[in-house]
Amino acid sequence: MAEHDIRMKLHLLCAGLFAEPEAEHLEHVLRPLAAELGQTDGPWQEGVRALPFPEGGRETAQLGLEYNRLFVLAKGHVPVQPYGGYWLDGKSTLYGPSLRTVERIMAAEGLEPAQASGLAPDHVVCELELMAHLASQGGKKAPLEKTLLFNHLARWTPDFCRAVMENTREEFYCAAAKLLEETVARDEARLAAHMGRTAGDADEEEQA
Amino acid sequence: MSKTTDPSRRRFLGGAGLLAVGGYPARALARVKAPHAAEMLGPSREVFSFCDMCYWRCGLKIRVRDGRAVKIEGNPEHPNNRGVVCAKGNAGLMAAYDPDRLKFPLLRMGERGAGKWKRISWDEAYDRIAAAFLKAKEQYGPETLAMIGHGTWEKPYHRLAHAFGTPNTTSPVFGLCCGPRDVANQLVAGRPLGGNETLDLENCRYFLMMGRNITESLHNGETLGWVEAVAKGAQVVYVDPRYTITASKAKEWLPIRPLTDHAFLLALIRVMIEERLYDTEFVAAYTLGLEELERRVARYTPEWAEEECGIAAKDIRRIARELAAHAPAALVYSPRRLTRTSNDLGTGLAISILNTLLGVWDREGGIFSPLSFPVPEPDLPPFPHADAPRADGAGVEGVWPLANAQYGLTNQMWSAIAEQKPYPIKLLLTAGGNGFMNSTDFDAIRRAIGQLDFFVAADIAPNEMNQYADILLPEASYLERYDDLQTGGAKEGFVAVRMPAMKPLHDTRDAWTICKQLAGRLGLGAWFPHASAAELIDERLKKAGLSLAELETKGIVKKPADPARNFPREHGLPSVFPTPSGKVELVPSRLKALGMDDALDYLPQVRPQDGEFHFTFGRVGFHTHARTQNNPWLADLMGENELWIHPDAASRQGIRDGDRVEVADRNSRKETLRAKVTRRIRPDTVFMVHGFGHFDPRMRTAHGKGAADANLASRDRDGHLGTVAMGRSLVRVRKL
Repeated sequence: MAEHDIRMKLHLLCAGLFAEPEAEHLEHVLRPLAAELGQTDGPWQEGVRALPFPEGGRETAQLGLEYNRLFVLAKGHVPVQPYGGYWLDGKSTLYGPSLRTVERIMAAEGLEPAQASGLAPDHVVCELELMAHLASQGGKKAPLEKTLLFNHLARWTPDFCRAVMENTREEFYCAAAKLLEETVARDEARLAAHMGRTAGDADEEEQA
Repeated sequence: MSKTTDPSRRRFLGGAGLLAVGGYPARALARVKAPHAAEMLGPSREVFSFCDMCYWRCGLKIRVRDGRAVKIEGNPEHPNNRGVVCAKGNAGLMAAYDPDRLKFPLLRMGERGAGKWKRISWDEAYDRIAAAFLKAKEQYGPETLAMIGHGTWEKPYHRLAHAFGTPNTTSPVFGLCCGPRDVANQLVAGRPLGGNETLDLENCRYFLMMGRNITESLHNGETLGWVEAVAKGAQVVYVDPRYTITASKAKEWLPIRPLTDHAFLLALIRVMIEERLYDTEFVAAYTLGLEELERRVARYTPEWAEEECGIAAKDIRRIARELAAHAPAALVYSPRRLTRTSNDLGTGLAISILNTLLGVWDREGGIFSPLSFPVPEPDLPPFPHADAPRADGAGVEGVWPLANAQYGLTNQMWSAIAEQKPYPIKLLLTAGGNGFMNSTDFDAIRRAIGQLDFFVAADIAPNEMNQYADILLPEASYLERYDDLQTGGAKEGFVAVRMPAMKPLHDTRDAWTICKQLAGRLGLGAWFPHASAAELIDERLKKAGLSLAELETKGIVKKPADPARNFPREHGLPSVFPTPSGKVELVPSRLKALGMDDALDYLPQVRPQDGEFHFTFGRVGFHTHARTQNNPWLADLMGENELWIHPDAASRQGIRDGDRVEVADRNSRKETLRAKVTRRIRPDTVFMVHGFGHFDPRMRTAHGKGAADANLASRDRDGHLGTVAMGRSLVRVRKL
């Protein structure tokens, strides 16, 4: 499997793991994706194989409860905010200035969050799917990938993943957070090495 | 464990326009539906207005592009809303763009109410109206005209009717809504709280909300103030048979037995006096009648009240103490519509008395004195003296002397027309409003209309009442016209303007122009000397040292809040109470003089028999009364109402959530709707949102949706005021 294909699938898998659990999607998309990646040699193999997918409707429903508790419903506050802006723009801010970076990349690609999803562009699922989409184009969108990674994903998902691991009561989300943390860290190292530039450069590029 | 991916399944999952990445469906991202193309929009401008979607009248900025209103925003300078616009306010655009609007003058062709119309010119409409009005005036006298309004735009219609010589002008605001509350405060303190209540919500620390569902019967400025207080830690005790959204924000919900609020309040008064919890300094300096009040409430022990209203005696004592501990930053919060029982005046009095005992008048966190912004009315000839008394008896000695003679008793007016007593009323002019859906007696409305020689209705949209008109005059919406000024009394005094955001979309005219042109046909032009509403308000503003041109640049001019005048007792200044005695009267002297002081005492109300329920209804944040259900945007948010019923009661009838049910009262009036089975209501009570069940087929969005609470609410009256006791209906529910 080509490197860009693996990256695309890893990001898509991570996006799916943090989307609202849905039996059909888990069974027919995420589980096969994980199986495919788990059979491919590489540093991601262990993390992917460790994913404890739910067995049966009851476990999926349990996962749904945990999803709501962690990311959606709140009594006072959400244990883990799934929006990048929360981590990047100050912790009382949603729809803050950092959202514009993601919106611009999406617009350049002719994409937007589907209305039915109810998600903002900087939701973890949107950002990871956007990264998967960029990766699927085999390096043609490397500058956009870099902007998205260095200005967004690499800057907030480590904190997000730690928050998930600290707050979750489900092994599934613990494993998902670990996989995402490792995926983003590997991506960061790879892109920095290949392109020899840093996050600060990406900022300048964006401003230009 | 591995499974191969099934491409057909993937396609299925990737439906609803979602993106596919490498053949795998995304969960969130989609292709932008429309290609990005630069839109060449013209520049926009903004005009100022105040909202007409409910009666709170928030300040607005209307964005206008290419001659059309395109967006409604709040005016942050306006004290009624501080820049916030609710769902109803946002949907105001659709009041203008509603495809069902009345678009040109119509003449009835078939039977009244049959829905057969012919388009006529404005001139023909005026000529026909003038001929009918002058003929009836000659035959029966000017009092044969009744004018029923309901909205900002009704002011010129009042002027026209008074110039005609009739005393019979009315609006539902008193007899069907706030009357008992306002009379009670007037009797006790000489200070009604007004349509925009003068409560210092932001600084209040303890609210006892008597069914005041402030988050759903929603007015922006009021709700903002209350939410600020709650966010700062104010305690809320919410008293209502139903667990509303407001209840969900409260520390405590007390599901009181319907119609027994007065019992609960009387026991609170007793505890407050017995335990000397009241503000002794204020009571000594500013009130009269404590000893008599103490004697009168002696029998209303908390234990007695517990039997009556279902709230534990220990809780009543505790709440009295908690109120006192937070006073003067504490409020007993009246419902806005206090037309429920046959002694609503007593309930209103008890609330006013409790607030007085807490010493909240002119104190921070209590009731403030508003500032006004006086803008003189134009110089007009005096109206002709009306020899006949008001037909509804409002303000008439021996009939309903305490009822407000400005707004009258709309319910009694309909009855007077139906019975043609005390004298013939043969002409009806309505300005907005909907007698069927805002009153409680369909039969009386139909009988009344049947008695008329001539009925002319002016409105912007069709409804059940105006479908019976002989001539229907289409009004410009509030986005298409000037109206008279809004002058307010909040902590700040203010005057605000309503400017047209666009020219009328149809062959409609503004209310002021309609009245001026009709007045001309009736020989009453002297009362409408100005060429236009704009000229009228410009003249008024110039008398106040302003001008229309100046007001149009900012929408509102304010007199700054003055803490010493808003809260004189916080600044060592005296309060003023314009009662006959100059004091706050705990046993009002006017009430005693009229022999009506029994209103202070408890009057037991109806109780359901086996299988019966108390019938209740109320507001929701998306709709105003019965006038917005046909608004397409608001219908998207709530398109029909449901019958709230407790699961225990529902299971006894075999009713499940979503079932269609029939609700019938003791007079065999019936409505059908879907059931909402919920624990958020007492088992002996059912509820529905007000304003649905429209039966005018011209209302294509709302027609046939939900049930009409107006056809089930009680027709009983408050024995002292003549206002409607809407809550006294008992109903049965049957699964269909």
